[in-house]
Amino acid sequence: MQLPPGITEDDLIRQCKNGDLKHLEMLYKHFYGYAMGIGLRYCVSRDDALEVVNDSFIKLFNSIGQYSFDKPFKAWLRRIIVNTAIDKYRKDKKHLWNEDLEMAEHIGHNATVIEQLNARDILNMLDKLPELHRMVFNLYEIDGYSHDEIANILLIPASSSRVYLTRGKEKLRELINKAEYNERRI
Amino acid sequence: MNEEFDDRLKNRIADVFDNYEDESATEGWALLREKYPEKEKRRVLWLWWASAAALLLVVLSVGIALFNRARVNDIVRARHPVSQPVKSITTDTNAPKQTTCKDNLVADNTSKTNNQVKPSKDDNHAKAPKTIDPAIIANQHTHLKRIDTISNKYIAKAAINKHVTKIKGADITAHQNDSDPVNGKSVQTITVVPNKEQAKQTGPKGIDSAVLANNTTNTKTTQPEFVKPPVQDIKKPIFALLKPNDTKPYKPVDKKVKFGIYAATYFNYAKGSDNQFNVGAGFASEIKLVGNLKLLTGAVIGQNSLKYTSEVPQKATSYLAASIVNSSSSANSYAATAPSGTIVSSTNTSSDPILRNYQASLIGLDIPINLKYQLSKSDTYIAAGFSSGTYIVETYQFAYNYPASTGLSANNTERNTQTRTFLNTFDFARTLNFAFGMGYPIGKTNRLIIEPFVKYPLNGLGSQDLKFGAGGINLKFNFTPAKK
Repeated sequence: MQLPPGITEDDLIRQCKNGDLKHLEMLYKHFYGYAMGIGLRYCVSRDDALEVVNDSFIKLFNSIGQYSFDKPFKAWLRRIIVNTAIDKYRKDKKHLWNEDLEMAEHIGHNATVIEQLNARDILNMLDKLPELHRMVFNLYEIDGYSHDEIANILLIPASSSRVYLTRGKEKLRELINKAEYNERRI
Repeated sequence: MNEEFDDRLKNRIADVFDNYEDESATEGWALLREKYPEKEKRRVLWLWWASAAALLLVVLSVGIALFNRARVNDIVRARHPVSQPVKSITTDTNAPKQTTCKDNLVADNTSKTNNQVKPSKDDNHAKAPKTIDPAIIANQHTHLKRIDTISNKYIAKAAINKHVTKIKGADITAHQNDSDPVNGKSVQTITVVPNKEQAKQTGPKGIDSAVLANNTTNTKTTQPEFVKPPVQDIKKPIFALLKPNDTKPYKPVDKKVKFGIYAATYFNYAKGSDNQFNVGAGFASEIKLVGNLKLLTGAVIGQNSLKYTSEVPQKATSYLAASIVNSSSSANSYAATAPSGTIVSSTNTSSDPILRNYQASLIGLDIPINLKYQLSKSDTYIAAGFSSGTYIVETYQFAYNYPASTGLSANNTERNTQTRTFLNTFDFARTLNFAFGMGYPIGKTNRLIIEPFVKYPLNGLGSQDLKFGAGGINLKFNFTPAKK
């Protein structure tokens, strides 16, 4: 949601620090898409993602008084959402391992396929990864965590984190190649 | 090659989701609002209720603990009579011997005597000669010596108990044992025997004949007999038996006046209002009238809240209009913004504000006067009566806007709050009460009562004449004041 003219993100955050519900709602709606983008990457279902996002915003609202303007707000929000998603993962402990994917007959790296991927395509691919692989891929590749940090967060050895990342990426490559193969057949 | 591919994929994912748009923000916000902010009011109410319950539990626990402690002390004293203070008396001036008189034995004997003075039909115990503790008699290898000379003065000194006065005129006999089974000393035990007049009154099966028969025949019993408790005692509740010196026949406590404290949880209801959960607390007194009929009264401070959303009471609009007119600042602004020709009055005209939402919160002092009818000897009862009362704080909140025809902004919702404090009105007998109570004994004299109730409004209540009732449950703790 676009902010009303004349109001910047910093102005909005300042108003939110006063606990005004109307401004909190505006902040929520303004950053909702961004937050859902992160939540959807980490969660297996949309409902789970929404739950993570809402829990994250509640944490944010409760601690917005401590927010310092010298840090980027989006990075702070992202951190809260990722931590909340990890908490949910730990709580649920759903280690639902998907079946191994069939090997694609043809392996190629067509640039056009990647550039054409939209959010739904990416989520479909991520959904096909085992949850732990997905988590490690997101944390390392997209959100910039190191393997040591991931190991601490997910309570796994750092070497396992590397293995999961490698396997996750391999599977994504396979999926893209398969998509490319199917596209060529059409 | 793979690295290049991975980088492109990573960048694509980051790019897509950093600019991700989602249209469901409104639904998401609605869901979030179910959790945020936490409802402080409800939390405070629960805290209040939890505190009241905790206080009640503490009071009950302390009461029960004290009660049990007193009973245990009585049992210990009854089971160890030798360890009780021993009063030495001299019965023979020529050969003074230390004799002992055990208070409890005497008390036991006096107790039995009293029981037998008024024998009842079902008192089999009275018919048998075993009414005097056979353990005492068996231990007497004995020559019985009448000690009529021992006066009530001695008994008073021995601090036996007040019931001794009831056997005034009875013969007191002393039984001298060869030895005290515990101390190895000579022991003289006092037995109280009714005199001849009493014997006549009580008949041949009275205590006198029983004791004399036992003693004059010098029955040598070496083993104490097991004594079957009297039927009358079996019927008594356990706490009545725990008190060995209690010579009075058991009667359920039925004092003229009883007091109680209680906590109430209830819902307020009114036409057009959402049901609102509320709590209250107060004290109650119960005065016996005739038979099973009692008068219940007391005072309770309770919260009453109403939230009219579907149908706002007609009177509320008038109160709001009057409030706007009376408020000089509001009146000025209203007059300044109102179109010419608008008549502002307390009656409902087209230019009156339209109430969108109306809330009332009243902290009231309720004085119920109910008649209670005990359904049986149990603690089940029904009660009905009227409530009168006043309000300590009354707060009314109006959310309103003006009709489009007035030219005022119809979209802007304005708010008006009116607060009145202490004793503005007194509503006499404007609520009809019905209640049904079930009591559970806590100790000898106390009762825990669960009382579902309904209050039905007969007329408007409070300064804005709101017709509302209540329904809920009272949790009462009734206690009887100690007899001085």
